[in-house]
Order: sequence, then C-alpha cells, then structure tokens
Amino acid sequence: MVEIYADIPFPNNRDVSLLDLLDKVLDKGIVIAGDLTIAVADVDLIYLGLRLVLTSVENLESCQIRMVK
Amino acid sequence: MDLQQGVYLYCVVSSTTILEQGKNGVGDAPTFLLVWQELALVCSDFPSKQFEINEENVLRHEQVVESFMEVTGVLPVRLGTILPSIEAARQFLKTRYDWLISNLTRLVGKVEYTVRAMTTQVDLHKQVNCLLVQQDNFSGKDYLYLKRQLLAPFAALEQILMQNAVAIVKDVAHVGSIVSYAFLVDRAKMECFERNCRKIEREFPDFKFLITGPWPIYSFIEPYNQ
Repeated sequence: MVEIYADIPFPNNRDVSLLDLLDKVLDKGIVIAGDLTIAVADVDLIYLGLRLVLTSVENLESCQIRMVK
Repeated sequence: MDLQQGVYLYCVVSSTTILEQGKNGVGDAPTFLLVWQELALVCSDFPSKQFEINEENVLRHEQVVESFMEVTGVLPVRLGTILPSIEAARQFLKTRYDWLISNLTRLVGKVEYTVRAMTTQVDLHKQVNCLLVQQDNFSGKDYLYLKRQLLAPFAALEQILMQNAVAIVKDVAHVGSIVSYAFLVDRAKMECFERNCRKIEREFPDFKFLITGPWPIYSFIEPYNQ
C-alpha cells in the first residue's frame, strides 16, 4: 500500500489517504471512453462529489498535517 | 472461467512480466495476463453487471496495480473499467499498441508523488479577495502584483522539488491557497525527492503539506489521439 507521510490522527489519516487514492483512480490513468466499456457510467457523478470533499482539505489546518518520515 | 459478463482491467505491463499466483482482484477474482506482442493487460473475470465504487473495490484495484508496480513498469487503468469480452480487451491492446508502448517506455523506472501545499497566509488571501470584490478600486496591475506575491512561495517550493523530479502537473484551487502537484520521479531519485519534501516543510513554515507516494503513474500518461 502507498506510504502516507501525513500524521493526521486516525481515522482521518486513513480517510485522507483514501481520498487521495480516489482522486487518482477515478480520473487518471488509462481512460477508455465510449462504447467500448460497459461499466464506468456512474463514476463521473461520484467523482464530482469527491472533489467537493477534497477542497475541504483547506480546513484541515487544525489536523496539524506534517511529514513524519 | 465464465467471461460472458465482462473483463475487468487493472493495468498494462510488459509482456515479459510474470504473474504471481494468488493475486486476486475485484470481487476476489483471480487476475490473469492477456498478452499481445510486447504488452500484457492485467485483467480479471468480472461476473457481475454492476461495478460498485466502495472502499473494498478501490483498494482491490489499487493493490493489484501496486503489486505489479513493485516488479515492473505499469500503466494503471482507470478504476471501474470493464470490457465486454476477452476479444474486446485484445482489440484494445491491438488498436492502441503504439500509444501504450510509447507511454510504458517513457514511464518505466519512474513513480509518482502527490504533494498538496496549502498556504496559511490568510491575510494576503483576504487582501486579494477584498480587492476582487471592490474591483473599481484597484487596477489590474495591482491584482497581478498581489497574485504574484501569493504564488511566489509556491514557485519556490516547486523549484526545490523539481531538482529531483522529471515532470510536474499542478492543479491550483482557491485563488492559489491550495495547490495539488503530481511529480514524476525516477526510482533512483526517490530518496533525494523525499529529502527535499522534508526540506520544503522546514523552509516554508507558512505552509501545510500533505505528501503521499510513491504511487503508480496516474498523472503522466499522454492522452490518446485516435
């Protein structure tokens, strides 16, 4: 699993890393669009919601994000 | 193996890659390699008609991609990509062969890091936002000056991190208060890059950082042009 450097108190650390992961896997990498695929229809809508969550990272000041390695 | 319902895709790797047994993917289905010339598509049977985006499926997808990342170069496929048949998957490899080979060759031996930088200089932000509201009272020149001031530290930390990276993509949000970066880093430079991550934390006390990695390379795949 990906190494996380932020020591945000549990469970936020896990949540933030999962959001970071989602930010990548839902929008990036090889994207096969069009009729070829049969099951990515709902992804965009969910991703939109996640972006809203991610922007609230600005409010994480109180979590004292810092590198630990 | 019943492949009537579809084939789930994880990543593209070199055809010389050896599949380690026991690496199950989404729905606990065993993974397999579909080879075409010098490329292989890492897939698994997908018996269900609906792909559910939940924590378990996201982690399963990522774990398969990262297990290959440990041993070879990978081009990760977007989460939830399912093709209707083995033939469709083979067709995908055939029709995009040159593009896939070119990306894989360019990105082999590299990893990605995510750096989210957030400035805590609230006053400067307030100043810029106030000026934005009272547009009649300041010139474009003033705005650009303030904006440059706001972004100057970001540019400085980018410069430090780029010393050990080969490429960067960035996404600016909230009038420059948060910037998300993806850095492409040679495996041989990972330690140096991480050292510079610690350096920016020391040298930019007005910033908060969230740094994760190494990731498979999601952000540096060239778009496909038909």
